Amino acid sequence: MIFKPTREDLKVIGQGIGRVILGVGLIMLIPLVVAVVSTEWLAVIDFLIGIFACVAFWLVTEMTCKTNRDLTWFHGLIVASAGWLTAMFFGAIPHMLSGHFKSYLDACFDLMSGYTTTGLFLLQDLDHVSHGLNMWRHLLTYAGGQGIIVIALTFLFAGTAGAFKIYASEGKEEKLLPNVIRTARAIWMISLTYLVVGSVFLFVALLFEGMPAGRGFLHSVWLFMGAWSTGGFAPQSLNLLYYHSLWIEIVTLVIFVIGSFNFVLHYSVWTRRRTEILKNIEIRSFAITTAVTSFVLAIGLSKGGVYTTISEFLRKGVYNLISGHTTTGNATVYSNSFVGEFGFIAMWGIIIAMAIGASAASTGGGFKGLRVGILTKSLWGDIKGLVSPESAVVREKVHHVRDIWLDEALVKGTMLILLSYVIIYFIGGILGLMYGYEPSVAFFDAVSAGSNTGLSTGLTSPLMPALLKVWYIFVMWAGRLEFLSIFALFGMAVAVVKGKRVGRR
Amino acid sequence: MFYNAKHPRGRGETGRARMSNDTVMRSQEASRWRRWLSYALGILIETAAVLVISGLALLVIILVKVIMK
Repeated sequence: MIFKPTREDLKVIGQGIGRVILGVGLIMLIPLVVAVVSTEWLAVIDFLIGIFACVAFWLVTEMTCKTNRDLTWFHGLIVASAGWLTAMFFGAIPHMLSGHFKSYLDACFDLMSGYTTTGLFLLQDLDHVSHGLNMWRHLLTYAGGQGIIVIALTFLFAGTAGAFKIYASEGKEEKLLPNVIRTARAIWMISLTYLVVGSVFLFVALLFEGMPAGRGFLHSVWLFMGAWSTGGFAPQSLNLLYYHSLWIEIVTLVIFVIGSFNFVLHYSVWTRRRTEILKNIEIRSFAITTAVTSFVLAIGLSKGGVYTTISEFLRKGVYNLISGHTTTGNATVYSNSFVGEFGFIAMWGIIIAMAIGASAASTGGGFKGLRVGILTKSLWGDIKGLVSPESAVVREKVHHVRDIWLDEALVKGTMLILLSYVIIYFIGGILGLMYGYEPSVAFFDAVSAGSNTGLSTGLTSPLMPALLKVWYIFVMWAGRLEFLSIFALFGMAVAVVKGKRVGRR
Repeated sequence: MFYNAKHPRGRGETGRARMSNDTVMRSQEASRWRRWLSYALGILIETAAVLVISGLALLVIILVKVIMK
């Protein structure tokens, strides 16, 4: 039996969402400052309107949803899913006002793409957007990489038991420290440390390539944010191809691969458990799947006869493959090169890499290396069971910070998430086919959106069908939150309509 | 954080010698440095891992290209 949510439930959820939106408004202060410093007064007005809207929404929710009740699991799931969706509508205000979007739907698409660290974009004339808007685009993906909820937890929620529920609902089930607020702060400490280190390296590389210091500083910060968050945004429409720099490509590659690692792994390696990086199932899984997909890519490239030097293998082949595997989306080739130069086999090598994706509890998307490791080990256990004596008990374990013994519930849960990803990839591909795109193109962009990657063959553009834009927004959102919160939101919608009313719970 | 006279250790109840403010501050400073050095080493290890994995991918591609030539 389904129960209709009570007024108290709605108040708890409303208050949580209000605080998330206040967090979005607070983040807008940074691009506002950049716009003021750059004397971009139109952008200043856009951000002031955006901040005003966020603060007004928060005030309304604080006044109408005042409650002292703590969040339950159900509330946490709804706040996470609905919070991300509401954050998209409010965050899109400066985008829409900038005049770089064909419609509000396109602005929302870019917002969801940014928050979910996907990197696909429908923004027009990217090479001439204001510094303020560029800062907002990259900050979105940087903040989204840590998690909007993590931001809200860091500043706006008390350290209650409910805080963990909202944190876990954002697709991060693992904690770095026993306290969830300290976990959120540790995530920020790691990200900010890398922001400083990575930006310095990129700044030096950009100066070395002849870029003026002021512009170099902004580009280094933006490129770092795009790479670290595995978002793949860049300030120029040609993405990394614009720079034509081996050093910038190497530095960004290192940044986005490290960015795709699990925050728990970062914390372990930083705090004297150095060998964890050798033993961790996600790193082993990533190394193996990188080698396997490289093999497929290499066969494709060899058959096509393109990229013949070692430098080209590295800069065009390995870079784009690993960018796809870490679900980043930084590219060193034109969009149409995936079809025109990589060809069918190499494209499918990248599609498989994108579908697998990065690590759990990281900034990346896709199935995640942990799940690939669990399923592979489980399959291996089944095979061992078949060849062992009937009385033998075969149990497999994976190492992820600690040893995890595989049981039926864990494998079943893993299969369910993996199946959900396969379904959204498939539906996206079929939709693309229905609109007349080639199979490789349709599936490439569908998997790219669903796995929060951002590489594109050119299908994703302002001219793409509106239904496909809406579907991509949905899969970016669902893929980033790993489905459970989305199921809960749909469950709540059903409960509101069909649920049985209860007096008190 | 400064030396707290009300703390049991401050009163010598555990048998340890009282630490002066300077000693406490130096110890905290050293601990902070050790922590940041540990973080720096962590960053180096992670970078090395990335380079090894990328090198592996490059090696596979080169091998396939050579074999298929």
